[in-house]
Amino acid sequence: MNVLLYDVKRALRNPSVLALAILTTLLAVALLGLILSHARSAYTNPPPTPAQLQEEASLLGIDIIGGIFGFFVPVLGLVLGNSLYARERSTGILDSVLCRPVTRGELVVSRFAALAIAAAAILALSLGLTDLVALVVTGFPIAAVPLLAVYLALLVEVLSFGGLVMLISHLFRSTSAIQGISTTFFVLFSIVWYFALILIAVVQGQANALQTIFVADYFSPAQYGILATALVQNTFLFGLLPLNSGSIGIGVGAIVAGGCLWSLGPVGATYYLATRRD
Amino acid sequence: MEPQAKVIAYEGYSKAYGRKERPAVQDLSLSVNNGEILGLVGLNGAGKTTMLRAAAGLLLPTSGTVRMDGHDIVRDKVAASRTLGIVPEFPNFEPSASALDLLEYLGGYHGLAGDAFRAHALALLTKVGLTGNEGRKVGTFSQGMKKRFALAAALLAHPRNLLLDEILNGLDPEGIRFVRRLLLELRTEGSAILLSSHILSEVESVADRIAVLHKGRLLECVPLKDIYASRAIRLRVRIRNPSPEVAAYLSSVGPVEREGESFSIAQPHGEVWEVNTELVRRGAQVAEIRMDREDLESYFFRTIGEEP
Repeated sequence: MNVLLYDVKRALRNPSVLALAILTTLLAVALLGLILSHARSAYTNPPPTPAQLQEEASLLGIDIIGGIFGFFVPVLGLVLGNSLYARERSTGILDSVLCRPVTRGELVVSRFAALAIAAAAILALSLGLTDLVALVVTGFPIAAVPLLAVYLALLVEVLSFGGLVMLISHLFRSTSAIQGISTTFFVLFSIVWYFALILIAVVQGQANALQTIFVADYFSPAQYGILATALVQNTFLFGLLPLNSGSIGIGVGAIVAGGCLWSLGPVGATYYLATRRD
Repeated sequence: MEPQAKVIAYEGYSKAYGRKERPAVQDLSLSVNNGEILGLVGLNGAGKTTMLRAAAGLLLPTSGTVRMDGHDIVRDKVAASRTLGIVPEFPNFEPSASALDLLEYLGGYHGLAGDAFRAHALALLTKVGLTGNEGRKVGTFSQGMKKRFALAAALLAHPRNLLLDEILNGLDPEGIRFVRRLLLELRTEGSAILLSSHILSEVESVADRIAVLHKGRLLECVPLKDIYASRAIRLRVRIRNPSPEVAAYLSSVGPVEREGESFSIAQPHGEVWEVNTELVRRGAQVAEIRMDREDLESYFFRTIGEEP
């Protein structure tokens, strides 16, 4: 337990992790504050009802959290996975621990657990601050269930990318190769994936494309924030496009199954390789 | 199951880093007993580091096993590692952690924590000569300080088995003396120590047995006293007035090579004082007489079949 706490503290003190968490939170908080203030000013005559304010807070809050955090948290996963495992493995620091009374498998699990705890704490704090802004501006917090759904989806993104970088460190030994391939995964799953699917939507036409987009999103660990947002909001593209999530393949069961696979698959493969290869 | 013997034991151990690569270590069987220092000598690439890393559980074997006090380092890793401490040739620790914090963290893997353990960690840092550096980041340590820190980390949980890879590299003369004394002290306490070093004279000064590793194979593993007994020796004598009688006597001591006043006799029968007495009795003016023994370096190169 002492070891796990030390690893969690170490992860939370990592300057890159701190900088990324602060930057993302500030961006989300500022954007949400601005948009909510603007939305509220549009209601001046007649003034918004409490129900309208509550709906605004939740809709915009979830959209911004899903969008802003959804884009940045994969990087958080990469940084955490790198600092807690991949860097130590590529530089040989991990040997100073592996010669202790711990198995290779236990070491993988313990570092991944530290990553998960650190990520859960950072996300809780960041989303909590964002929620606080919604409360201050509108007088209402973001609805709890959608917020929890998006929180879990973001956690899937962090865990999957953290697991991926751990896995990559078992396939490539050089630090630069690990960083290069990790960055490629981020660009592919976060940026290329998103815009490629938008392009498909434009080419195919909205009716056919939405289902293609969301079904494809199950296969990218960076898109679970968007999937969860679409599920709880029934909108897409920051609320611009209304949709019926059930009819286009977005369901709780599929998201949970896909999320579990992405969260545990890469670290499972890491465990397999760690216990069978040097 | 009760461990059969408290030793470091390799049994048919082989390790190849790639399918097409020559094994770094091949079919190795040897053991280090309690209260014994085994000196591991070999050229660069002989497989010494592979041997030590394998025993620490840092490398999986291609075949064979390594046991610590009877526990297989792969199948029973936790139990085997509890009895083990290793100092690698190039110690590599988390650079951003302070020395004391890192010892406390590593102690956590042994289930050690609390004030008593903290005091033990501080005492270890003092013992290895790092007093005043407890709060300093390990990344700022010199190579010698990292070696000292690695030694403290290795001794953290009072291991009975120690693996030391080129531990003297990077240490100053005071550090070398300290390590030598520590090794002898640990041996007296009953530790089994596997010591790899390029500095043969240092191995010679502490080891009970010498294992010669060459191209991944164990060529010899013999007690140091047996090496001493089997070493080639040569008697060198310089006589100012070498008479035929004296020359004849020296021929009876062993095969003689003569160059003017100097005689060299390989594997002589008798000790220096005996020969000297006989020479003086025959009226020889002995200017110089000494017995040259083959050193460990010569023994090593003779064993691997290469010229130094």
